[in-house]
Parts: sequence; C-alpha cells; structure tokens
Amino acid sequence: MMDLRREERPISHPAGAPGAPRGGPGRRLVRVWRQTSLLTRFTVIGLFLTVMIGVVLGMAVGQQLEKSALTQAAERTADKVGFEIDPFLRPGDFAGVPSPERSQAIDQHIRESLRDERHIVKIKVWNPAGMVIYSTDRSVIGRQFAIEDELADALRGQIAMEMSSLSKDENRMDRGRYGRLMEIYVPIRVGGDRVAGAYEVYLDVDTLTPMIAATQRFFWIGLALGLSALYLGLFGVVRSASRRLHRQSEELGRLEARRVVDQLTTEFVSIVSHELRTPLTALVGFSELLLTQPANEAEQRQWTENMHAAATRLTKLVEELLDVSRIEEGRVELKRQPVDVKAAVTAVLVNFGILTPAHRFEQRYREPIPPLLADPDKLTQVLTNLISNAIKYSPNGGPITISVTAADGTVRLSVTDQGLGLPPEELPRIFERFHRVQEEARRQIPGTGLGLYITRRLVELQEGRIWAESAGRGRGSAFHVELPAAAVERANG
Amino acid sequence: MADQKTVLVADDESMIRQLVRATLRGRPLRVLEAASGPETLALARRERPDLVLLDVGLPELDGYAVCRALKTDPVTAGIKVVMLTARAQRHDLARGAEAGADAYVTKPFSPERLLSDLDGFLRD
Repeated sequence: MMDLRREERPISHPAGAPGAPRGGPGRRLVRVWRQTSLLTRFTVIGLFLTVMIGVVLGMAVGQQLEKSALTQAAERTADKVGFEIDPFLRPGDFAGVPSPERSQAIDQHIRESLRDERHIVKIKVWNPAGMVIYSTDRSVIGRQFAIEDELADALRGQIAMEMSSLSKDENRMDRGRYGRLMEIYVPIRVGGDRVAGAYEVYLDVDTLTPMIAATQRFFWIGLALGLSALYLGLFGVVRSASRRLHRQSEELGRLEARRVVDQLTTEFVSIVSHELRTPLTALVGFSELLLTQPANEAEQRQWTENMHAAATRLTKLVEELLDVSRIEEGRVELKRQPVDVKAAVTAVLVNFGILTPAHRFEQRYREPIPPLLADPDKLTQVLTNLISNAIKYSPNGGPITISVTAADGTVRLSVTDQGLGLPPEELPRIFERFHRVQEEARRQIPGTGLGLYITRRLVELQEGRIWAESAGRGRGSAFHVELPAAAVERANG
Repeated sequence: MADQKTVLVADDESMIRQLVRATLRGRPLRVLEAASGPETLALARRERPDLVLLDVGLPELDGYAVCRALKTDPVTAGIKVVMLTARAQRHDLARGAEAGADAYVTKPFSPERLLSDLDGFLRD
C-alpha cells in the first residue's frame, strides 16, 4: 500500500474531539431555531402574533365599548331626567334659590322620579347664571360657580358629559365614596324651546361596570373565537405547504445525492481508467517490443523492468480498490489485540531497506511505550503506506524518521521525511478519496489518490486519528497516527 | 539531416514516453518529450515539430486545450496533432475534432500499429 501527499489537519475523531460545536445558550437556541421546520416556526410566531393582535385589538375595542356604553347610559339618563322632571319645573324656579316650600317640593319630586335609577348618585339644577338652585347635596344649593364648558354647552341646548374630577370643590363630598363619577349636563326646557337652566346628573360608573363587563366579555369571547379560527385556518394552510416543501426538499436531496454519486462515479471511472490504461499500455507495448523488435541486453532489461513496474502498479491498484470497497461496505474485519510497536515498525522497515537504498531509516522510541491496541495486519498496512509515501515523496532520498511516543493512554507513531513537503492549502484535503496534489514536482510520481484515504479510514476504524504537518513545499512532511494503548483499553473495558 | 522529422511526445507518464521513444528508435526521427500542457506548447513553438503525440490527460493544461492553442497559432497551426487517449468515447472524439486534432491513438496501443500510423502521418 502506498501513496500520496501530506497533511496537517487533525482528522479528529475519537469522542470529545476538539472540533465539536461550541456556543452559549443563546447560540444554541439560534442553532435549534434554524433547524426547526417551517411548521414549527409558524406555530410559535403565529401564536405569538395572534395573541399580540388579540390583546391590542381587544384593549382598543374594549375602551371604545366602555365609552359607547357610558354614552348610551348618559343619553338614556338625560332622556329620563328631562321626561320626568322638566314638566314639574316652572320658569320662576330659575331666578334664584326657590322658596323652602318649593325647594322641598322639587326635591321630593326628583327623588321620587329617580328612585329606580340606582346609578344616579347626585343631581344639581343650575340656572343660566351659574348658580346651583337645587341639589341632592344641600351644601351647594345657592352657591355660585364659574360656568365650565360642559355646563355652557348644556345652557346652549346641547347634552354634554365628562368624567368627573373629584378634586373639584363642588365634588368634595363625593371623595372617598365613589371610584369614578360621570357628569351629564342636560338642558332644561320649560314651556317651549327656550333653555331655562341645566341639570348636572352624576352617574356612578362602577354601577354601570357589570353591564359594560358583560358586553366586553361577549366581545372578548368573539375575538378569541375569531382569531382561533383564523390561526387554525392558517395553520392548516402552512402545514400543507410545509409538507409539500418537505416532499420537494426530499426529492431535491435525492437528486443531489444522485448527482454526487454520478460525479463520484465519473471521477472514479476517469481515474481508474487512467490508472489502468497507463500500466496496461506499458505491459502491452513493451512486451510487444520484446517479442517483435531486435534489442540489446540493456534495452531488454529496461523494457522488462518497465513491465514489472507496470504489473506492480496494476496489482497495487487492484488491492486499493478492494480495500476501498471493503471499507465503504463496512466489511473490514478487525482483530484488535495488544501489539508490540517496536516489533511492528522493525518488521515493516525490513521490507523497505532492500528496495530503497537512497533512503536512510531512523527509529526513535521514547520509553516507556505500552503495547498498542490494534489489528496487527492493519497496523502494518498503515505503517507501510506512510513509509512508502515518505519514500515516494522524497525523490532525492534522505532520512526518514519513525518515532514513537506514548501519553494519556495513547501511542503516537510519526513518520517524518525531508521530501517535497506540502503547501498549507493541501493539508486539509490530502486524506480525501481520489485527491492528489497537482504540482510539477509530483507529476512523475504515480498514484490513485486512494492510499491516504484508506490509511485514514483504517486508523479511524481502530478508534485512532491521523493528521499531517508540513512546513511547506520542499520542507518535508510529518504524518502522525494516534491509537489507543492496550493497557488503557483494558482498564476502561 | 535536412529530411529528419521531429516528433514531440507529450504525456505526463514517463513510462508512456519511454514506450513511444523505444517504438520509434529504429526510425530516423528526432524525438522530444514534454510532461505538461505548458511545456508542450513552449516546446512546440520553439522546435516546430512535424507531429505532436498528445496525451489528453496532461496536467495544468489538458490535451484538448493544447491542441486548440497549437491549431489557432499561425506558427504551430501546421503541426499534425495525434491525440493519445484512454478515452475513446464518441464525445471525447468529438471534443478532439472540435479542438482540431488530426487523428487518435487509444491506450493501450500496439507499438507496431502506432509506428505504421505515424509513418503515414509523417509522409503526408
């Protein structure tokens, strides 16, 4: 096994990897919100908006309802007062405070007439000069007050009303007795259309409240039912749209997945085709030359070596494709057991020593090194691939160092060379399937782009991680593999 | 020497360049080699070969682009271009024809057949 280029990004992978998403509760909330469906978003936002609209609308209309109810009460009271009392009054009653007998007669008539009007708490009769000529509150009879706007309106023939200010001197007796009072000013017409004076009738708003509350309750129930119906109707529409979008999204996902598969297939066919045809061309071509052309011994040897190299390359391609197939179908069988790292490294290096006289291997061990927990064959494959890469990408030879250290229940194997090195932008990609670094210095080095991919997957399957580092082009590379130590695994298990 | 023809072999695989060179070794030809698109263009403009055996999958600038550049440059438009390709599907051939290629050789190829094809092209 072998291949390709070098590295650097840690392909994190054991649990608790440093690349795990972080963020405070706010960010988490935002992330959760982004993942919610259209329907869920509508449910939350729609409910919130519906409730807000209901509250604002309800308050505005509720105020209007109360105002309307009070106006109706005022108009009804004005009619009642005018109908019951006007006929009893005489023009002479408005010249000043009537005689005690007359006053008593008026008082008796008014009290009897309005006995059933429980919301009327006080009544005054004004003459056009602003004098109170009669009142159920005797303390103000005969007193003169400034003519306020509402009274002036009534004296001109219009009904007027206002919420009473209990701070006014004329109302001082009412403080503490009533919560809210409404004053209604009603023109008094005696013997024709002429306005002889005005009533000022005080209504206790609180006694009207049950009626207003009943109206408002009816309104609130209607509003709630209407908005609920609207919300449910919209919910149905959005749910239907959401399901349709979901189906379309799944369809798009399937199409995208198919496109990716097509693209990978094309890429695969293109690479495999090239990797197959190049050695096949060499095999067919050089063998035909050997069979048909006269050649000297040196030529024959060169052509035969070329054929051997081509056959080796084909064998390797087949092995790699089988490995990828096994990995991707989950058919890799692991027989993990404690492995002596030193023995494993030494055994791999023995094979390379003969093949590559240009390179010098150095082994460095920082003791103590516990046994690794790994499948011995897969560990050999990983080491072989990394060392093979180090040789391939150090075309000018040089030292290749295999160092082993242990820490925190893991054992780290590093293969370091002084070869072509890797540009930083390639480091995150070199473990991807079929990826090859495209640059002049590597052009003559054959490869499929599968070796490091296989290596990474074999490491990950054994609960390890792999990453690469390089100081840049021409400055060598280091590949690091971390696997669990056997002792730690036993302690945990 | 005045009649000696020049063939430029453009392929990023040294094994293929070696094979072509070995195939042509009995002919009175000058054989040049290039391993990338830009290198092929530079060499063709400088050396004016009679024929370029051009691999489709050249790095940096692929064979189609190189062929198009050669055929649109008056200096190199007369050079015969034989595409060397692992792909022999109809759309690949169409792309080559569109780029102005004169002929195709598909990998793997027989050296004897290649020789006879090249002899034909160089004679024309």
